[in-house]
Amino acid sequence: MLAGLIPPTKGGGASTVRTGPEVPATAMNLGPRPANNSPILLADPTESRFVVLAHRVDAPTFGCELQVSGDGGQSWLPTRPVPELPEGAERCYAPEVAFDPSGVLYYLFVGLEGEGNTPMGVFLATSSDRGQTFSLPRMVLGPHHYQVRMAIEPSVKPRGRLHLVWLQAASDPPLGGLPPPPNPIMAAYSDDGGETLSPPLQINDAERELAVAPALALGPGRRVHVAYYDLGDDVVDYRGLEGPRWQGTWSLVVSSSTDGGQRFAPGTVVDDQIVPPERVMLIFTMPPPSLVADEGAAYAAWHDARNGDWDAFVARSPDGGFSWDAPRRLNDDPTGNGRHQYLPRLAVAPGGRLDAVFYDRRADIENIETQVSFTFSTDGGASFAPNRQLTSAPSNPEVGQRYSVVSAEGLVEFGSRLGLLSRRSGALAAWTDTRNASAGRFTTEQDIFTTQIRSLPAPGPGWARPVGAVLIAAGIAAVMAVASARRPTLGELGQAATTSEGRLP
Amino acid sequence: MRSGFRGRAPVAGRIWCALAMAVLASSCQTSAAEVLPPSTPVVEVAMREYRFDYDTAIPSGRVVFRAVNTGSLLHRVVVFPMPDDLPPIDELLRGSGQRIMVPLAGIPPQVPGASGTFALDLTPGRYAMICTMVSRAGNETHAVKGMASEFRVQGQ
Repeated sequence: MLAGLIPPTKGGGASTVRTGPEVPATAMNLGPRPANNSPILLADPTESRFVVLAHRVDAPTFGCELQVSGDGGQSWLPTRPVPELPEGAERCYAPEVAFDPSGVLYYLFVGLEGEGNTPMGVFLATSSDRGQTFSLPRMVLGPHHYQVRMAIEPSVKPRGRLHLVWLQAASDPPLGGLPPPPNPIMAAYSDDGGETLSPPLQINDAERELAVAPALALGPGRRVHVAYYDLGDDVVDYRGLEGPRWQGTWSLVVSSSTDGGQRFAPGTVVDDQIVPPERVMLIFTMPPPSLVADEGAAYAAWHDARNGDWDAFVARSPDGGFSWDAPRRLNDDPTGNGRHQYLPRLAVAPGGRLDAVFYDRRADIENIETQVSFTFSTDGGASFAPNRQLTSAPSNPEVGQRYSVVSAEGLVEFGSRLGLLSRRSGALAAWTDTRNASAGRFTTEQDIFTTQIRSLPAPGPGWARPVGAVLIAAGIAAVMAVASARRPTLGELGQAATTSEGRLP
Repeated sequence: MRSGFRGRAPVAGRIWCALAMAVLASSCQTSAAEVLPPSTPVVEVAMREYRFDYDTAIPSGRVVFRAVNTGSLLHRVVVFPMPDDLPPIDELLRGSGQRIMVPLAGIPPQVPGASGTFALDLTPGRYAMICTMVSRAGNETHAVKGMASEFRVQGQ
């Protein structure tokens, strides 16, 4: 893994896009070096320089961590969101983060107990001081809750509406699988910061019994979208049974609410030709699809093996989740070339630019060494910029935790998501990285690296720029006129600053 | 916004507010919630035949090391903790006695001009940085030839 020998960039059409240095977000020296993966990135809505990165730890034991940044993700510091585990919990796992409208950080995790890592509860801790201290975790859901996702809709005052989605197992699961259905995907919300929850609603359609891996996205107008995979007849993966890769297909389904999560419409099929890429590692760490929503539109991304090797796909809903266009391929290498692209992650920038990152093995003839690629669309997903390689050194996806379950013999856990945070003219990406792993493939040494992506187009109406320039010129003239007539008092300036800061993105 | 600007010149008032906000944001940070995490210090390490060049004043806490190969051979950097009872790293490398030292972190070999980076959460104490590459003759590591250095992390 020699960084200087790696071709630096793919996709000349995106040549104006610049990337910053690749920055390690995790430290390498925490005892037996851990497997850090599955990052999620989020910016404080009241202070965009404050960015958090939550991630899973898969080795040497399961855990969850949080890195914070005060410079927009250019550097990272560790913090301790769970200094003391709740009673009965032996490990913390699968963290999720969200900010409420006032900038309070919510950190959600699943408590695990016993040798089988049974989920014994879902807990929520909050920080009002930018991650310096956290409240004691309190239980928001009981045992047997898997794949819990969280998001906060800010328009419900004063704390926002906290949405939760999860898979509810009926009983203790078998190793690597789920018990016989029903194990429904459920959703609830809270308007009091998670102290009380609305009555949970079942999201998956009754006839879609083998529903797993939910994803949650909030859109404008109190829209709530939940995506999930319907495994169809694939009881082999669902139950964690021994056997080869499932030869049938799965479906990706989205169910949407237009009233803030009080009711959900029946599911809409995004795609029903999803060919499973491999056996599912553990059904409760199965990568969910990536789901985002924007003004009017929603987007879902996933990867599958319909072309033989794995490709990353995205589909667009023009009407807020109730119908879906045909999927498009995100990766621009030749179809069927035997190289994998997988785990796409979407984010929408202010102004509507759709960004995507995914793991990419196109540069390795052996289809092992993994880079990270980026692309974007400024026309609502109708077309995408040429893929751009973000990483200067490859990672080895055979470095990581190996589970001794019959359903995933020989597979290595590389995490279930990448992180992506989109800004008006840039983005921040995070991924699992093994460039510094010390002893080759039979280790678990996974770091998380991040990089800034700059000089991205900030889409808007075609008339916006000239009109904006005229307004700025008029504004400057007005300022000069007013300044000569009256100077504001310091108190007035302070009032203005307080009010304006609350509106910062 | 309840300032006197509203009835007189709202657009100009808003621009004033934006300008004032930029000034106030840099000078009025009073509550804990307004304190942002500081940026992480970066230690720039130059690797060449046969030495490391870097600023040895390294703080405790999260530190990023960025090592650039400015030489003409393959080089790498590996960081070890050094208990206080150990002799100096140069002496240790040339001595006949064997010590098992567990590395904290490092980067793989870098070709000339390339760089690698890693982060450490450092506690106060003594550390060593060495290059474990072996010379072409195969009888000496770059560390023995001079690419070995110690630094002490002070508490904050």
